[in-house]
Amino acid sequence: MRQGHLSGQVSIVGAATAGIGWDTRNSVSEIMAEAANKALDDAGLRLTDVDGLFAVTPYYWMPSATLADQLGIQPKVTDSTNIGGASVVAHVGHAVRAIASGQCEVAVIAYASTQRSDGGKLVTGADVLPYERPYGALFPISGYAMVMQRHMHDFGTTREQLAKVTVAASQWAALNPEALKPEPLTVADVLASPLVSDPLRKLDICLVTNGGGAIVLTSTERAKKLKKPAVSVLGTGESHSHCYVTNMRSFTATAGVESGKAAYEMAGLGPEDMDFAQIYDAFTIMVLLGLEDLGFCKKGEGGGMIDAGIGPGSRLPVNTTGGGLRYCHPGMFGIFLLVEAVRQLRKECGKRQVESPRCGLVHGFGGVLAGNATVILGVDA
Amino acid sequence: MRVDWIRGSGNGTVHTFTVVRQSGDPYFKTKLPYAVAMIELDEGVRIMSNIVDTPLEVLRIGMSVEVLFEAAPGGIAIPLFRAPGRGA
Repeated sequence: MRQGHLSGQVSIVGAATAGIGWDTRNSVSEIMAEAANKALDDAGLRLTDVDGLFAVTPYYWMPSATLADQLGIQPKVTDSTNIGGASVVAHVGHAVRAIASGQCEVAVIAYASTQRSDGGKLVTGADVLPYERPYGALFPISGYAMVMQRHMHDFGTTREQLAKVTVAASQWAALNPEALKPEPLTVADVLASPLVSDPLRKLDICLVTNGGGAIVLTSTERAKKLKKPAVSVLGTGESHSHCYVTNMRSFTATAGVESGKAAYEMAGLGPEDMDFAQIYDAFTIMVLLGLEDLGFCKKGEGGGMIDAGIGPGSRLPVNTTGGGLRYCHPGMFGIFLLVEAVRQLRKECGKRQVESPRCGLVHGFGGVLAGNATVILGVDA
Repeated sequence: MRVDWIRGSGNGTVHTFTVVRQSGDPYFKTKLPYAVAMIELDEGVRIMSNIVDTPLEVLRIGMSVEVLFEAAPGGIAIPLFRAPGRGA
């Protein structure tokens, strides 16, 4: 069913990050709560206004309930849907439907992780199938390596093209005061970094950091009375094509095709209308697949689009923070894509500001391309 | 979905693969580097496995492979694959 009647009914009115860094003394729930409170301040709303709570993190059994304990609230709508790094992007669609139907008025969506301080490795609750465990595939690295290998085989995508995703991320990170790795990188640097799981190298892989973020949503009607420009949710879509690598039907296409189509249809817009894209980049190949599957270019032409440029000054600016590759990456990165899209549309981005954006796309991936969620946001010109 | 047991030929082709170069796992660390692959069985289903007894340099998408079984604790046997004609 098309959901065009919901387009623009709900807006994001607050956005904030918290605890981005290499060291922290705070717990995950404290960072989530800090982000939620900062996002509420940003919106000019109070904790007592919140009656919808959406949260995800690999750390807790019931993330939204843990966050509610930390905040001291009892929500009317609660949601901890977990489809990996796409989760909070999917939560936006859930919050839109909850607010538009009157189930709640003010929703907070939050995420945090302290994976850097907890051993410096990805913290994940991901289970491994007995049909995969004996073979020693690195989760999720080897899954993405096999995707990269197959895409290079089928479409002639080159290692250099994929390295350019990291180079573009480094150029954006250099313009982002919050970025943890603002140093410049070249294609040669990426290709000289150690192989981890062929053909994937260390600099194809995201950072491992601490951090969290939150956004606040309410009806666009109420948003107009708040202090900052409302960022309207124009379209949302979600899907998952599999959970385990063994069940992947395709190693070169994702359910982003379907989540993107749903979001575009709801918004009544297409890829040509987007002024920027924030596409989850835990691995370089994800950006290429996102560009293809969300219709910014045809299947197999992602490499050429990256050659043409996705960095500062390009036709389609992609991952304007520096992304998971160079900005920060406390695990499931979706919340940072959303926060940046809000900041860009409000023109709060300083040196990395995209010129006069009206619409932007956010796409989250989860697991090994399993979870997919797309959100299209816009502001009045 | 209706599922049946059928006897497989043990033959397939490499759909995609990777060579794992690093591992924090105490067991797999001793095996580095090793090949993980998705094998498309001739019967039309795809499974994950390792390609063994085969030089890593010759691995290619589309290459033919055949099954061998490795005994594992608990009385089970794990299917692995190799390039044909490399059996003992």
